[in-house]
Amino acid sequence: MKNNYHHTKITKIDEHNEDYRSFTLDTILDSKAGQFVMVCLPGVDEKPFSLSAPNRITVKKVGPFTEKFFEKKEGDSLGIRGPYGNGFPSSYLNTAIGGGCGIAPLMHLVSGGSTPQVTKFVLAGKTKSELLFLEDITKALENNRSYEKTEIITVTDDGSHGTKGVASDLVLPKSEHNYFICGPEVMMQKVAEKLVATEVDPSKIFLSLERYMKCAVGLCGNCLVSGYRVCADGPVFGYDTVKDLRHFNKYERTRTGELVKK
Amino acid sequence: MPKLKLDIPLVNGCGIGSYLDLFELMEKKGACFGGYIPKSIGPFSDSEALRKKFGWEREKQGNPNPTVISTGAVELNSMALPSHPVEGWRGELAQTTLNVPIIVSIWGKEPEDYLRIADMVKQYFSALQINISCPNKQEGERSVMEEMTSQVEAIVKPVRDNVDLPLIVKLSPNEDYLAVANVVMPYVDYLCCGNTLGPGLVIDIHSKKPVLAGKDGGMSGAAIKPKTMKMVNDVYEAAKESDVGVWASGGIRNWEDIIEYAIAGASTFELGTEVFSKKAADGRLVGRPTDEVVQVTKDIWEGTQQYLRQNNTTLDNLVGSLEK
Repeated sequence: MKNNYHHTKITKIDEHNEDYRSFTLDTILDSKAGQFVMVCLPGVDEKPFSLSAPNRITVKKVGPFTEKFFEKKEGDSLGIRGPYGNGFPSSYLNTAIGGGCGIAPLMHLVSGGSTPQVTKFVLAGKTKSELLFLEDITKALENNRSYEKTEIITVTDDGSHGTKGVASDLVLPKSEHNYFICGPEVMMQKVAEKLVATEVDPSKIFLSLERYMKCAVGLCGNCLVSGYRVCADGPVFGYDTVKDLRHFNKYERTRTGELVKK
Repeated sequence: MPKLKLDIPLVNGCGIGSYLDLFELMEKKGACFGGYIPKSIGPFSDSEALRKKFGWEREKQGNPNPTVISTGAVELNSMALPSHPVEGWRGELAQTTLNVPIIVSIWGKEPEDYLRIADMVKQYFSALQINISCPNKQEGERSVMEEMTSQVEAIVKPVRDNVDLPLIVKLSPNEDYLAVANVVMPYVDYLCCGNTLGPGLVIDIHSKKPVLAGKDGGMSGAAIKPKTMKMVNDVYEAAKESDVGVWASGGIRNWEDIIEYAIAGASTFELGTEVFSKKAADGRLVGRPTDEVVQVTKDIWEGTQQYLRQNNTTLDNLVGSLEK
């Protein structure tokens, strides 16, 4: 039996830019794209992070915990439990749409193995340096042996790479793909709405939600989105499930459990 | 004394699931829960006047993560009652669409807090569970268990006199529960056995620090069931001459556990760790998706009813039928 909690060494650190780093681990986690792990810095705290590969965590510096995380060096260790959650479905042809840090879990889709297949990849960010893994994703799609032509689309707020604008400005041609979206909730909602407007069935659109996570194993309820526990029912949800939920893109629970506006 | 009417004698354990929106989803999906218990409501208020009057604060953060850990053999938590204002709870309770009874659990820092909080939310619940048994604490605190067990009479008596609804006291397996049961029996309708066991300690051998940020934590899951079984039977024996009923809360996984607890003396059953989480194929503890939780409650209740039919008996007849 595997340990529920174990230590793993950091073997490599990649700096994407000032705010984003990827930590490669000496443990390959049996995981699906979209699943997450709880990373513990003993004596500090423990937070959820998505995997950008079965042995890699990508972190955005947003507060005290991630600042401490960024002090970690190659050879240091992290406390890990997981992976948890459902991950993206194993469908054959898919379009991935990632914004900023949300590109990380979608990177897992093209980091090895053959399913699910991503033939179209949209990377969005404020600026060019937020288009995480652009080179790796380009290479992975070039090597894709799908019968379908592959395509990478980039979009930046400042126009420093690809189209100037935001992901929801794009009009994607209608397809039979599943759409995997990951990014800020407001961005995911806008992109999903745009897809629905081009007659994509909401049940073919999948979003990855994030909430304040405590137990990560379905018990405490802190990560609820209108009754759905993100850790146990998600983090990946069909848009048909979440689109009409009262809490979706509107409410979240703080560390005390209080329901507050997002 | 008023009795609580539950169509199905299964409820969630307090602190499991915690919030009304989860219970509403469970009900919508057809879960076999006859009532729901939100997370324990504590002495916290949005109102500055109330905070001043009662010496309350606005909220309690609880321990940092990790707050839950599984050893593979038992689960531990050191949440330490993270709490938000009673007014927030009132808002959620007022809006709920639940059609089954809500049992509100309350904890306090002072004996008086229990009635104060009960008065603020009593229009929304069908029964009140008094929490004097949570063993978890933040650094520099005493746990509710340590603080309130010895003051239980001062808590329960005024609540009994002022709240005309069924009262349940949730006992701790870590204290002299028979002594507490004897003190509170004249005032309560039910005794719930029990809360998490311990606390226990899990050490991170790499950092040599406790894994749980709260250092130690109460233990739950199937491993604690025999201890809770003994507690149910002891309390049943102590209470059987009265009309005080016994609730079982500890490690229930299936209908056989319900039957076993009924034989020991319990008539209402709280489902928690083993129902809302599960072991993955590789043995790790993971969350159990909602549809599966719903199915487990159906299996438990259908299995229980089938047993009763096959044995031509009722749950009432089975309660306390342990042969010694």
